[in-house]
Amino acid sequence: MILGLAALLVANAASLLGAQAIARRTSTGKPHLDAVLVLLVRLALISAVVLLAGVTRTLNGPVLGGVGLVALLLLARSFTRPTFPDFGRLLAVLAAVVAVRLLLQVWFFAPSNYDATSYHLTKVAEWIRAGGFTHEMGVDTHTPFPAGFELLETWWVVFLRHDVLIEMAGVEMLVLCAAGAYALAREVNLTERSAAWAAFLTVMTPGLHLSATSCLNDAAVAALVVVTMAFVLARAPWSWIALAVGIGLGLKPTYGYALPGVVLLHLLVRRNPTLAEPPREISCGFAVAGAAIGAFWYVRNALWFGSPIYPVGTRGLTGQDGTLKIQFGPSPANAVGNILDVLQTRVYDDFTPYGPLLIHISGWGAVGFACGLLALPVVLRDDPPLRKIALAFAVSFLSILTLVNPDPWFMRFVLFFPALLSIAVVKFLEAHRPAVGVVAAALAFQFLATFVPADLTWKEARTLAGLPWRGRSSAVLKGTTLPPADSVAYFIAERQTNRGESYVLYGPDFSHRVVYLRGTTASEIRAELEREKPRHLYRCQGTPVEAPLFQECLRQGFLKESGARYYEVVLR
Amino acid sequence: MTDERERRITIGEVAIASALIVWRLAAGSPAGWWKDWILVVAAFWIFARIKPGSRAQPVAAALVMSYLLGIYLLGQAPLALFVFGIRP
Repeated sequence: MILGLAALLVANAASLLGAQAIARRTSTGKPHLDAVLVLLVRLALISAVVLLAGVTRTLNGPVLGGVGLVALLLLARSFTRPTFPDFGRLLAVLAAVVAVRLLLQVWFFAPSNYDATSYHLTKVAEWIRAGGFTHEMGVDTHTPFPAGFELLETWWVVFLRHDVLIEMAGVEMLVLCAAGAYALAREVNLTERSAAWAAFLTVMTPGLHLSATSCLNDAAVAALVVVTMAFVLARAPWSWIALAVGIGLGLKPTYGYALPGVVLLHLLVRRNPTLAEPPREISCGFAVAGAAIGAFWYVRNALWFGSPIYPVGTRGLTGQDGTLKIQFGPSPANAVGNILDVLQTRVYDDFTPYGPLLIHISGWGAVGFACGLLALPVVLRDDPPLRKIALAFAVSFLSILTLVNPDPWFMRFVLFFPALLSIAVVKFLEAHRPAVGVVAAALAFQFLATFVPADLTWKEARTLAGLPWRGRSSAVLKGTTLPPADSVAYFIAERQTNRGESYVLYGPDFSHRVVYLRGTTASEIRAELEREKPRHLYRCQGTPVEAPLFQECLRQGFLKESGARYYEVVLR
Repeated sequence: MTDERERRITIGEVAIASALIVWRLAAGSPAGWWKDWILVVAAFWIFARIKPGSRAQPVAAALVMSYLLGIYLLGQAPLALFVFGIRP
């Protein structure tokens, strides 16, 4: 563990130094943009390293730590101390408090959200166990989705071979989002201190904030949209934008849904002077890295499954009950319905508590609702750059709402929008000082309400915190335990509409093998069990014992109940 | 910007805000008007444009924001308490 921790620190230091050294060669003279680029290049370096290690099956702590050590030795002398803008004492203290709380959330939370435990993290677990990319990624229909964010999560678990720090990936994206919002605010002529407040308000947006520690990728997508907008508004080099777009597309296709707004912004600012282009090798490097990181998953899916967007087809993705789960292509009718839903219902945040899935709420928070929506139309009048940004954000917002199904959780795809509201609030306060107290009260409420997400209540968080860190797993929250043997079969009856919890079966240290059952008859399942030889079978929480297929397995007599939804496999 | 252009923009903004008010009054039930954020924002927008340099505007902004915050907290605060195991 000590060696793993050392490798983690060395590799992270090396990636930061490497990013700094590369970004220095394309400095624009605008510190707020250069800082964003350092963070983005670090993200690209980490993604590239994990991709390469995954493909070459060298995805393990010692190898990556060794590479990191060599890089660190080569780059050690190149370190330059970053200069931070003048945040002011109050904001520095508040940011420190939030940073400490985020670290505590990382430490005490364990992955528990169903999307994460059903298909995001099953990939990470399989990769870590195999030391490289695997065909087996889990049984959920969504496992083939692009996994750019999972690369970053893999980085945070590979050295310790433990998921105690896995939420750091989201925290890192929250930092990138803050840097992007700060750069955007500086580009619309806010002072350093005001821009820092806008960035702080952005990352304190409840939906965004809680998404960061939930092992979901929506905060990451929001960060990349904000960063791309900042680059385009500043007329940054094309290769910077290519890098951001590549990384964004590798995270999730919803990033691509936001690109019409980015294109519009480019058209609106095309007459502004451009920033200096970096050397050709840097430009080409960024473009190639962006293309590779973004295209990898789509190419893989084309090769493995015959379609780059598998499992979504030209009719979208439907569940076994025939309902549409994922929409393919634009739908004007859904756009109107979604927009009215946002304006008339979700923006009030009065249906569910804050959480990463944002069920029937926006997650924009009290500041966004009470202050941002009021400030936005007022401040647009006198600020042409902000008008352009607002128009671009609005087009991205509408574009996404035209392309997504009217499901309960679509607001998590537009988490970039609160950055605009935050900038508007800070601009508004410049001329409306008495409103500062209201913003402060709204912000205080948001801080208090974002200690834990809706899907991990305070009581559950305390339960997790009470466990020793080596064994901290959300299995206890799902009414079960870690597998009683080192190999377990996973049974889920309906995997298109139900999310599961197979990730928790690996254990936080990935010490358990999970065998995914895909048989559709009891005989096929028996054959799979005979072939893979797991000693126990786990029945998914969402699969009732009365499920016909499971009942048939019980009747055939090769499963013997052993508690906590585990069954001993008895093959004669 | 010229005064004439300023005036036209003001008229345009007031027209948009007024249209929003008409829409909300027509679409929402009278019982829900008091918590319709679009009505509140549109009304403040018109006020901000008609009285752009008014000394009352910052105070009015604070009051309107407080009102919206109250509406928001009525909905989210009980839910937030529920996460902490508190049932108001």
